Amino acid sequence: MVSTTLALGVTTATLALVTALGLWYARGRVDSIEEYLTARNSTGRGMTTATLIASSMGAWILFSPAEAGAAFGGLPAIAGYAIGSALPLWLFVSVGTRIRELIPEGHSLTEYVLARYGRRMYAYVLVITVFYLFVFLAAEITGIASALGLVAGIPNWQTATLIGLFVLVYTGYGGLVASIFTDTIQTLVILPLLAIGFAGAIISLGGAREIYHTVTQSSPHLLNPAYPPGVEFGVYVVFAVLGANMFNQGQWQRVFAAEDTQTVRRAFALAGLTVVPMIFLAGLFGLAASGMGLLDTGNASVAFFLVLNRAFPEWVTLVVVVLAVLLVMSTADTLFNALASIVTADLPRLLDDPDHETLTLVARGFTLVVAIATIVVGAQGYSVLTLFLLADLLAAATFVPFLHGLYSRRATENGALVASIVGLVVGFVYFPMLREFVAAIPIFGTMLPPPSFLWSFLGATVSSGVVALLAARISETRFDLDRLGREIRSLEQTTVTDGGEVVSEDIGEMVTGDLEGVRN
Amino acid sequence: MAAILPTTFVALVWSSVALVFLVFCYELYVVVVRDAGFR
Repeated sequence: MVSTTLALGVTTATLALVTALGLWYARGRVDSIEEYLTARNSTGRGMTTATLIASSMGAWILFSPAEAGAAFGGLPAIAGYAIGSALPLWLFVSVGTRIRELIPEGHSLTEYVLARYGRRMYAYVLVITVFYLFVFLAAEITGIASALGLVAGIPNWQTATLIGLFVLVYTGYGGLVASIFTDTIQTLVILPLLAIGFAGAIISLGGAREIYHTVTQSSPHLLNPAYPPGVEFGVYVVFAVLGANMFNQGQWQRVFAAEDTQTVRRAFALAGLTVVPMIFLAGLFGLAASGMGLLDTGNASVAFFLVLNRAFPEWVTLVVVVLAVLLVMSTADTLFNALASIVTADLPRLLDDPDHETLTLVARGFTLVVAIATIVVGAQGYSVLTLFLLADLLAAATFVPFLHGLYSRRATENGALVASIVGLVVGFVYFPMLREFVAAIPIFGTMLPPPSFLWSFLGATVSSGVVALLAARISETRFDLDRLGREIRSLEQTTVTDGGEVVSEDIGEMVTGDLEGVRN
Repeated sequence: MAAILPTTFVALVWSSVALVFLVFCYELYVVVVRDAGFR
C-alpha cells in the first residue's frame, strides 16, 4: 500500500492539471448553448476517436474485466466483455451515420424519441437513459473511491469529493468542448500508460508464458475458450452492454460533434477496435490473480489491485492511481454533460421562449446538481451491481424498438411500447436478481423458469426485436422520417429568410414543438 | 476442449499490447501532427 498523503497529492495534481487544461481550452470557445451541449461538426477524426475511447473506458476496466476473468469464466468471459464493449461502438458506425442523416441539428436521444414516437415512449426512454447514466456515474465514483481506498487508504468521501468537484469545474464551465478536449489529452496519456504499464507488468510477472503456466497449474479451466460458464457470461454481457450503450447520451453527443459523417464512421470503428485489446489486457490480471492464489471469496472485483499490491513497487501503484483517475475523469465529465444536455435540450418545450442565457444557466445548474448527487452517492460505497444489471435489462428490452424508428417508416409508438414491455416481461422471468419480487406475483410467480442472465438478456433483446418487427409489419402507419430533421432544430435562435423578408424563428417553435398531428 | 495453446496465449497478449501502442502512435500523429494541434 502506498502512502495516503502521496496518493492524495498525485490524485489532486492530476485532477488540477486536467481541469486547468479544460478551462484553458474552453475559454472563448463556448459562446452558445449549442457549443456547450453539442460542439456541432467541430471534432476531427483524431479527437473524435480519442474522446470515444476515453469516455467509453472508465475506471470500470480496472475492475470488471479482471473480475470476469477470475470469477465468471476466464478467457471466454474476458473475450465477451471485450467484444461486448466494442460492439456498441461498431453499431454506432451505422446508427451514427443514420442519426446525422435524419437529424443533422439534433442534440439528444430523447428529443429523437419524442419526435419519432411520442410522449409515452419519450417518458419511458427518458427514465431508462437517466437511470442508466446515473448508475454508470455512481459506479465509476464508487469504483475509484474503493480502488484508492484499497491501494492508499484514502477515505471514500475524499476521493468522491475531489473528483466530483474538479470535474464539475471544467465541465460546468466548458461543457462538451472541455470534455472532448480533456478526453483527447487523457487518451494520449492513458494509451501509452496502458501499453507500457501492462507490458511492464507482464514482464514483472515472468512473461506471458509464465502467467499461462501459473494459471494452467491452479485453474486450467480459465484458459479453456469453451468453458461453459465463461461462454454463457461472454454471450450475455454482449447483449447487456450493447443495449445499455445505445442509451448513452454521451455517444449521441459525439455523433453530432464529429465534423462529418466519414469522421463518425472511422472514429467509432477505430475506437471499437481499440477497446478490445484494452479490456483483454485488463482481464488478464484476473487470470494472473487467480493463478497466483490471491483470490478469496468475494474479492474478484479487485483482482487487478491485488496483483498490483503483491507484485509491483510503489511507483507503479502511483502510475496506476494516475491512470485510474484519468479513466474516471474522462467518463465522469462525459456523463455530467450528457445528463445536463438531456434536460437542457428538452427545456424549450417546457419554458416559454427561453433565451440562450437561461438555457446555459440551466445546463450549468443541472451539471452542478448531478455532481453533488454523484459525490453523495459515490462516497457511500454502495454496491451498484444490481442497479447496473437492472439498467442493462431495461436497455436490452428497449434498444431494438428504440433504434427501429430510425430505419422503419412503419414503426409506431404503440408497437415500440408493446415490444419493450414484452422484452421486459421475458427478461424479468429469467432475471436472477429481484427474483423475490417477481416470484411474489400471484400465479405468474409459481411458473418461473430457472434464473439465467443469459436467457434474461438474450430473451429480452430477441423478443422485443421480434415484436417490434411484427408490430411494424401489421401497422398501416407511414411516418415521414424527413420530419425528424424539420422538427428537431438548433437550440440557437436562427434567422431564416421568407420571400426576401428576414424572419426570426423562436427557439420554442424550432425544437420539436407540439407534435400533435405531425405523425401520420 | 482443453486450454488454448501457450503460443496462442502469448501471441494474444503481446498483439494486444502492440495494438494499444499502435493506436496511441496513430492518435498522436493525427491529433498533434496532422491536425497541427487542436481545432
